[in-house]
Amino acid sequence: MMDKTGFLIDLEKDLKKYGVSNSDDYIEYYSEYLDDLIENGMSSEAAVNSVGGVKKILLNILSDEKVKIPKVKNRLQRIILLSASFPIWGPIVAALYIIALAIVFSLIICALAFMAAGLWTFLGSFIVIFKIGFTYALLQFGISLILLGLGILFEQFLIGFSGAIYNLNRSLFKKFSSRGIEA
Amino acid sequence: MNAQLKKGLLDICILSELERKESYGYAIINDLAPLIEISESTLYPILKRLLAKGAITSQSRIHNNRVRKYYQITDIGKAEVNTFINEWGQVERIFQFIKGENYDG
Amino acid sequence: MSLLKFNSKMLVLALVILVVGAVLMVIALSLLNFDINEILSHFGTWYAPINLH
Repeated sequence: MMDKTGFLIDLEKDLKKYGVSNSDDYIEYYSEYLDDLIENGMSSEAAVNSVGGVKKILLNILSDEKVKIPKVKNRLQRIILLSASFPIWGPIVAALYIIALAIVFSLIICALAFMAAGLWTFLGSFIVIFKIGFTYALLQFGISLILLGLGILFEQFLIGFSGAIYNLNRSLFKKFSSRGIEA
Repeated sequence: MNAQLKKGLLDICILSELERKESYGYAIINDLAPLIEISESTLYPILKRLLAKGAITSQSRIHNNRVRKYYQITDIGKAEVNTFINEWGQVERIFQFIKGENYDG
Repeated sequence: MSLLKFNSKMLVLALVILVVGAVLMVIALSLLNFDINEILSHFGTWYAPINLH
C-alpha cells in the first residue's frame, strides 16, 4: 500500500522519465485531489487506491500528452549511427575505462601499502618499547598512525571512486537500453 | 452510457456546473456524480482543454493550509453552453429518428 | 561509520589519526634531540653508511 507522498514522488519520477514537460501541473492536480479525498474522511492509502495507482495514472497521462516514446525505426537509426561511429568513440571510451581502471588499481595499491606499513610499524612500536626505549617507540608509533591514517584515506577514496564509477556505468546502461511501460 | 456520447456531454456538464458556482476538482466530480460519472484522470484533460479555449479561468486560493485551484466560467464558456442548448432541437429530432417515432424530416 | 562505505565520518577519523600521529612524531622527535640540520644536510644518509662528503 502506498501513501499520498509516495504516490506523488513515484508519479513525478515516472513523468520526468517519459519527458512530460508539465509534470508539475499533474502533481499539483493530484496532490489537491488526494488532499480533498483525505479531508473528506479517506485514509491516505485509500485515497491513492481510489485514484488507481501510479501506473494507471501514468498511462492515462501519457496517452493524453502524446509523449514521444522512441519508435523502433528511430531506435534502429540510432543503433546504426552508433555502430557506424564506433571507430571514433570506441577508442575514447576504451581509454576512459582504462584510465578509470588504472586509478582504481593505484588506489588499491596505495591503500594496501599504507595499511600494511602502518600495521607493521604499529605492532613494531610495542617491541621497540622494550628493546630500545619509550621515546623511540613513541616516534615509531606516531609514524605508524600517520601511515594508518593515509591507509584509511586511500581506502575511502578507493571505495568512493569505484562506487561513483559503478553508478555512472549503471546510469549509462539504463540510458542506452530500451525502456517500456509496464502496465 | 456510450463512451462517445459521454465524451461530448462531459464538457458541457462541467461548464454548466461552473455556471452555477465556481468549483474545484473534487467538488466537480462529486456534484456531477449522480448525473454522470467522471474519474479524476478524465477531468484534468477536460479542464486543461477548457482553460486553453478560454471557456474557463482558474484561480489558486489557500484552503486549510494548502493550495486549491478554483475554476470559473467565462463568457466564452457560457456561450458554449447556450450553443449546446440551442442545438437541442436537432438532437431531439435525431433521437426521434433513432426511436423510429413520428419522424417528419 | 564503516570502512566498507564511503562516509565522511571515516574520512574525519582518518584525518584525526593522521594528525595525532604527526603530533606524536614531532613530540618524540624533539625529545630524542636528533640534530635535524645534520639529517637534512645529509639528505637522509644519516642512517646509512654512505658518505656523500
